[in-house]
Amino acid sequence: MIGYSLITLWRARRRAALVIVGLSLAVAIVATPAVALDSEIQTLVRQLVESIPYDYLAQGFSSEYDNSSATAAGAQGVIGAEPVVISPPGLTFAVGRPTSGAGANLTPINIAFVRASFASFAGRLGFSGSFQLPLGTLAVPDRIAGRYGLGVGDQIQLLNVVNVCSSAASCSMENFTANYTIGTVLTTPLASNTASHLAQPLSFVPGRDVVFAGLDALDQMRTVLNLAIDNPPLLRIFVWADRGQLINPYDAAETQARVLHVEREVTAGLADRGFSVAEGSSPETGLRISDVVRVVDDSMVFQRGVLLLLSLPAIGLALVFTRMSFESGLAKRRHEIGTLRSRGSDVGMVTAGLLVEALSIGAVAALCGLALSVVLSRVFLGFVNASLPGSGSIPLNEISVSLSAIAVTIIAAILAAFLVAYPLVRRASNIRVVLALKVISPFETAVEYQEARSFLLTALGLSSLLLFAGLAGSSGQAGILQFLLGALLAVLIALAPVLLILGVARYVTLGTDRPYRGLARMVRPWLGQLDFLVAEGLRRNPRRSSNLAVLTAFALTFAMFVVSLAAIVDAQTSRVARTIVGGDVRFDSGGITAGDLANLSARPDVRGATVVDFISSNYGVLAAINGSDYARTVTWLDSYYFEEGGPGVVASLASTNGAIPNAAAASALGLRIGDQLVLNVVIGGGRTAHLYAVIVKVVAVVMALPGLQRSGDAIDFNPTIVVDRQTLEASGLTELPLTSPGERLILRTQSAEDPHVVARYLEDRWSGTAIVYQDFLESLRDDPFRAALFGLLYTEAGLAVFVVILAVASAAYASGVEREGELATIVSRGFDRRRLTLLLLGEGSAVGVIGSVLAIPTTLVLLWAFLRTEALIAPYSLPMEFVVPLTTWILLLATLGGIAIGSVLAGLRLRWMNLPKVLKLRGL
Amino acid sequence: MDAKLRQHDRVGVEICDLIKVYRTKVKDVIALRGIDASIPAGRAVGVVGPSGCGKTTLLNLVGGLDRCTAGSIRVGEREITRRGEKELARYRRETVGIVFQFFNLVPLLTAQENVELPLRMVGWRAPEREKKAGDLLEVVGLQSRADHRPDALSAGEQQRVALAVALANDPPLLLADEPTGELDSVNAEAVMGLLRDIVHEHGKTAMIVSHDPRIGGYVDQVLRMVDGRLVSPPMAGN
Ligand SMILES: Nc1ncnc2c1ncn2[C@@H]1O[C@H](COP(=O)(O)OP(=O)(O)OP(=O)(O)O)[C@@H](O)[C@H]1O
Ligand SMILES: [Mg+2]
Repeated sequence: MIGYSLITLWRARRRAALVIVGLSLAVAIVATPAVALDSEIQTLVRQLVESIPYDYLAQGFSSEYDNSSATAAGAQGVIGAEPVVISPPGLTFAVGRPTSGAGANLTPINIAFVRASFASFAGRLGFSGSFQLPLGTLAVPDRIAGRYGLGVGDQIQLLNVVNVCSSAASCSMENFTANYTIGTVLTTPLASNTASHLAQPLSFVPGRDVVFAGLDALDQMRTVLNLAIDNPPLLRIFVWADRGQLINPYDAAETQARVLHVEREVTAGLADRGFSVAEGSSPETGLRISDVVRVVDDSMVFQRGVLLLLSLPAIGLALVFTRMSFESGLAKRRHEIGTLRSRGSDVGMVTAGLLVEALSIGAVAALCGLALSVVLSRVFLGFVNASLPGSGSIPLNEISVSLSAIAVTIIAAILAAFLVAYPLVRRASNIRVVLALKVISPFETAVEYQEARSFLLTALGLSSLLLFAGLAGSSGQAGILQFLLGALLAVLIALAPVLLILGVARYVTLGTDRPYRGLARMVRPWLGQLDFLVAEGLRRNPRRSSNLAVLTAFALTFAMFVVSLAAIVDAQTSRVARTIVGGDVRFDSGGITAGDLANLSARPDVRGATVVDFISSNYGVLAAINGSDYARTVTWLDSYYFEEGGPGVVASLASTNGAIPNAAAASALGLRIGDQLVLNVVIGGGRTAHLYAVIVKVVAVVMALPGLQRSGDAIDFNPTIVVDRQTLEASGLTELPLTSPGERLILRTQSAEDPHVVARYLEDRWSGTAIVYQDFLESLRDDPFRAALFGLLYTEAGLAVFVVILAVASAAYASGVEREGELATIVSRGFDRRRLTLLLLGEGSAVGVIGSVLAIPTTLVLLWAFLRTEALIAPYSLPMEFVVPLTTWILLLATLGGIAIGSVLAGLRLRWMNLPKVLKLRGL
Repeated sequence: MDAKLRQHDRVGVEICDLIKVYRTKVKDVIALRGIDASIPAGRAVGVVGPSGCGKTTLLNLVGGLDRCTAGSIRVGEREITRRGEKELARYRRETVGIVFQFFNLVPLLTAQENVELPLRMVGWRAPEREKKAGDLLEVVGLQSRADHRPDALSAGEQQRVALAVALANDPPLLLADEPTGELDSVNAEAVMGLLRDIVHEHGKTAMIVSHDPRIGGYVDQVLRMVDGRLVSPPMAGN
């Protein structure tokens, strides 16, 4: 009988194709995260490795720069080694214009002594340019050159202040200065943080600027600048290995072994010269090369689980589709099964034969699915790459599929095929022989519709929704109760839409045929009186119509939910970044005068600037702003932030003597709009202390205001009150007692300008760290796990929609084929063949519309529930906003469009049917 | 021919107080109201009667395709009404050959493969199977159409293939439900003649349901049915 199964399978390969497609999709959905994660691992490893500026560092006291380096460079697996001597941290060691004189406007620096060949690896440490430095010349980074307006050929002065002791008793500070010519201006990356981190190995004091000199300048600087460098100096040899050979992203143990091997090679050469060798590590995180793969591996274990879990809805959809196509294939074969049984096959034989077919289909599907998953992981990684700045895209040939993955996939697919097929096959082969042989449309299957069951499902769905709303409305409990509540809510909200969709869909598609008739009537203008055929087509196979509507509803709900959720989370991320940074650049510093502010605002690349002073008072910290400046500069201010009042009050803060407490202050003091408040500010200490009383009126209550947070969080849980500086001045407070973080500058740049330029200017002019909004937002977004998550969700939302289109199109096709005889009869009686397409289009659209009508409210309810749960579980973060992005509606339209196209294609095929042949088989 | 199959040769059929009630939601239909009949081994009987009188129902029960409500059917030594599904399948496989009004050929398979199907089920090897199927197609005069699928054959040809299928496992009992219902008179005569020759030549027991009044010319005896009952005496001589 196996022979028989294989013959029929091959003859009916077209019929099997859809099942294969469905199963391949399921396989691909399972395999995609695996394949994509493998490739993502590669990206992550490369990213982490790139944050490590060198692979090994050998240190020892030696003047044999070239010989020692050559020994290191000669070790197996090493591609380069460069000797560097670093100046020790002097008391005041600075650089400036020769004219500026000691003390005025100097930048503390470190000096690194290097060879010209250092240039080939300097990029790894964040510098690029020439290192040809004859005696008397220096290479300075662009930041220093820019600060003093210097270029190649200009003079620069180095200053060393040394405590010189002539005897044990008498010591004095002496200045040693020398002028040098700038030989090269080195380029550093504009994103300032990266440069300073990577350059860290070149200086004793982290974060200092580095100036380069030739190694032969060592002696000269020892004498002229009184530079305290040992002789022979502590030589550092930076060693770079071939990382392609060093690191296997998929094997932590092997990577570790290789790293150690090369380290031994380097050590072997340098040990007798008195050098000790250590592995390189990231200056930022301290992560060592040999640990990178392990760290990435560890983080992936969790990811794999979560991603697989999140794939379940899409896998489920694909399996449902597989089941549907398999079922419709079986329905067509009912007659054949009857024939086999009448000839003496028993149930077991028929079952076995059909299962052999199903399993062969599973094997083919596994291979197709695997191929598909390679393509899909490209799509998936496209999202991941797009959201991971700085990582190049992963070339296709780097997407690896291991042998064991193939084996596991094939077994899984065959298993899935078995699970899907077995119950159907059992049912089909158990059918009563006489029934199977009856010459009726094999599709006409009556479904026993129980009104009570639909009612029960709907009622259960509604009540879990109501229960959810009730629980979500109750105020949060602490600890385990909160956790249990959260878990219960999660279960309820996962259950409610499933129950609701099933219940309502059953009612709409099985309990009544009114929706079919109503929707069919819409095509009457084109089909004339034949519109009943559309309704009949849907009604006569209620199980399939109902399945399709439910499938469409589920898939659309899933896809629209995912897309909206991503938009909501992303909106919140940028909301958080905006709230913390406040403008394009935020700069916490001191000493920015009104004149400085005017100068800054006048810069062509600056659109607006405002200053915030944080001062202490009896009611918490006051954030003193210039209301109108702030309102003009901080355009991200909107009603979202206001619990009472609105953004309009900020600009007129001075004229109203207004105060805007945050939620913490308002609840501590019981403040509402209109309340008067006396703020006490103390200036000075002890006997000279003076207390000022400032009378203000509450004009609004906020969660937070952009740029006015004292900590690194978006919401400040300490009482903070925003007032206008003019109000303080009117009360006599001309000098403000600043408290951490002191004074803050918020800047908006012109949209075409790079905010890094002004950020760098600020850092160079005043001491402090500038935060660029773009960088900050990206640092929030580029969490690789988050990127992978959204990449996967997007991919699967797309797949879900694809499955629906496929399902509806194939169902439209099957329904056409099933009624081929009937349609052929109509055509033979004079119906225009071309209008058959309309018939199927009508059916497909009806199912699509019913599915969408079910999906839209469900999605909205789900989103609402998600926001409620989020607010309950994480009450200490900025609340998420309800956004339904345009993409969601595009998705909906695309699905309906796809369904339409699928139906039309099915209709076109029917248009070319062979009339005599069809009529003959029907025996008409 | 195969010895294994020849051992069943010549079975008689004893039908005793056979009742069949179709239970439906609307109302119960009593299709057979107590049939008693005895068909000696090697005899061919025709079953005639108005439409809806229960001919097909009777044949389905004798063929082991359906279950009766009450009564018994004995085929050779075996009582078949109270058998399990597995044994019924075996009964259909080894003892009966059925020719249907609507042919019931598997559309995906060629004529040759359709004939081979029952042989596959009893585990024949390919060379013997092919030879046997070829022989049978020759008997029904269709050896030249062996590689065509049913949709390429005329109705008469399809029914001749169906006859070959029914004969494939050399069943001692041959059942036919209006084998000529879909055929014109020329084809009908050809098929009926073929059926008669085979039955006589191989000494098979046969029940042939027909509307055709000329059925009497092809069988040894005619059973007349009206409204679920036999009206002619059970063993009236011809
Ligand atoms: N599955 C069924 N459910 C209910 N009633 C049935 C079923 N099958 C047949 N019947 C009824 O049983 C009676 C006998 O049917 P049967 O098919 O045996 O008639 P028949 O003699 O073969 O008629 P025809 O000559 O038209 O083929 C008929 O009244 C028919 O309506
Ligand atoms: Mg009949």
